[in-house]
Amino acid sequence: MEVKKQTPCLEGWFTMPPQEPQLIGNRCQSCGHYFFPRVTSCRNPLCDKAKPLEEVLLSRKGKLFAYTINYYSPPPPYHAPDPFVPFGVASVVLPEGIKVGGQIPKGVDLNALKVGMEMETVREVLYEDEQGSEVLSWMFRPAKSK
Amino acid sequence: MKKVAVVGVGETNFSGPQDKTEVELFAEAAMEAITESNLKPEDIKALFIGNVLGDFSEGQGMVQAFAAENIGCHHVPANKYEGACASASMAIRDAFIWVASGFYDIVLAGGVERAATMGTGLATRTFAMFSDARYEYPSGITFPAVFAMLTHLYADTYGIPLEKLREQMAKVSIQSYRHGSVNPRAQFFGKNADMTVEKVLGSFMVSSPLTLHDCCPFSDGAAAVVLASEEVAKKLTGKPVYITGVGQSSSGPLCNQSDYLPRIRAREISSRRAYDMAGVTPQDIDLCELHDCFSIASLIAAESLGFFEFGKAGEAWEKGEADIGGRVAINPSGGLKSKGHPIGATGAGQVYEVTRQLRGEVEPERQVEGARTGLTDTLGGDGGTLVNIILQRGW
Ligand SMILES: [Zn+2]
Repeated sequence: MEVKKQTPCLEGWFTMPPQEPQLIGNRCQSCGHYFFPRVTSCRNPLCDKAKPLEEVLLSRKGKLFAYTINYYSPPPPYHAPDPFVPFGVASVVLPEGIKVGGQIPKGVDLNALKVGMEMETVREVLYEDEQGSEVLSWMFRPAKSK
Repeated sequence: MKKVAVVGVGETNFSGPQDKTEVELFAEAAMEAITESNLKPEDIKALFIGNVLGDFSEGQGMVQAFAAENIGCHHVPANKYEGACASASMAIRDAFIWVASGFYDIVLAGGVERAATMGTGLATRTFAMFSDARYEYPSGITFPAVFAMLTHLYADTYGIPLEKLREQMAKVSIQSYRHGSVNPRAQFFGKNADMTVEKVLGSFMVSSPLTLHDCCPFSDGAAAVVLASEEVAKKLTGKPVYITGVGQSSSGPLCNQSDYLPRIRAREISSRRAYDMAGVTPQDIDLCELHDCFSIASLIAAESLGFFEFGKAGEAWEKGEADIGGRVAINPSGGLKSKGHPIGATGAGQVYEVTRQLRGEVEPERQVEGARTGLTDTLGGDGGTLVNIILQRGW
């Protein structure tokens, strides 16, 4: 089987194979706040910002904070399949105390989604680019095991 | 600081696709406002205009300079404001500040947009630019999805069953359609007065649980207002409407606002600034034109503006407390849902409506009797820019 080249949709935002899928954020070493996407300066207004930010891998699992099912095809740069298939998008709150948005991959039972359920970070093909490479993104799906 | 009055207002019909250019559309609204002010274009000292997508919709950049020349305001300073859907409100707020400072005595402010002419494809593509470009919109998290997620979050936060909340939201759309149906300037004038909860819930699902009737349309339109200092205003009109409070606030990408959601922090700060400046409270507001880009957005806005307790706005709509004759008349124009949403002009359209309401000049079916104080509310992007303006009768 032909192995397709894989590229991330956003360089440096999440780990690539063979690593486990994880989001790359940063953490303020002064106040302990986490950020995703990464920030260049701590956003906590109460922080003295004495120490620099460090890059960290964020927890793979979190809880579903909010979600919707898109029944209309969003415009580019979203790459809609033809014919269009409705898809889910989710906001997930991670144990680090931050909320991250992302798509829900195909094949997930969207009617079974419930606010508060455990979700896990996965890596899926967003679309194939003109060079035939698979463009990967992080997504969230209901966690398989506790 | 000088007192600043609205001395004249003008507006085109808000509509679907139409053939006039943005310069021509704005001229129609501007000339109505100037004529109503008993002024001539030569009296205008500066022009501040909101316009978001003119470069995309008709390939016309720098619309403000051409608009100024077209209406005979030759060689005046002409500035364009871009804050997505809050653009015209930003223009009016800045015009207010310049007149209040004494630098200019008469300024024309307003906005124009041809979002409907762009067509749904290009319009949704360009509207999505006002969410976070790297992250939110490539994931398909565009405005309908954002407000759909906020709907789930709202239901969860306040413990309202989703089906109950959807019915309350349908009643928001029904009220807006009813008011817009008797507003001759509204995109849905003469339409949808017989809307029912069943029809709203049964229409095309856009982003669950939002249906087509939960979402505002794409619109073409322009609106303009003339602001003048108190001394000038007293010579021009017996019915000056004073701008007594303004507020503006901003936020970063939606993901960075998430700790506060479904409340919009920037709105609470912006409206607080406006209330404090005017020396009034939410209880003093007789009518409010607020940013109902989606039905759920009306509930969120009415609560953040201080009209109803958090989680209770839906009940307020059900009981008629948000209607004409209720606690506060919300969107008697029909709002974005029914009057329409030509994004760069929307805020000026709100000031047009509130001014005419305070003067007692709108159609009897939607006139708020005895209104003395009104509030406008516009939200740009997904909470990125918020502007509130308080207007009060000056006679
Ligand atoms: Zn810090």
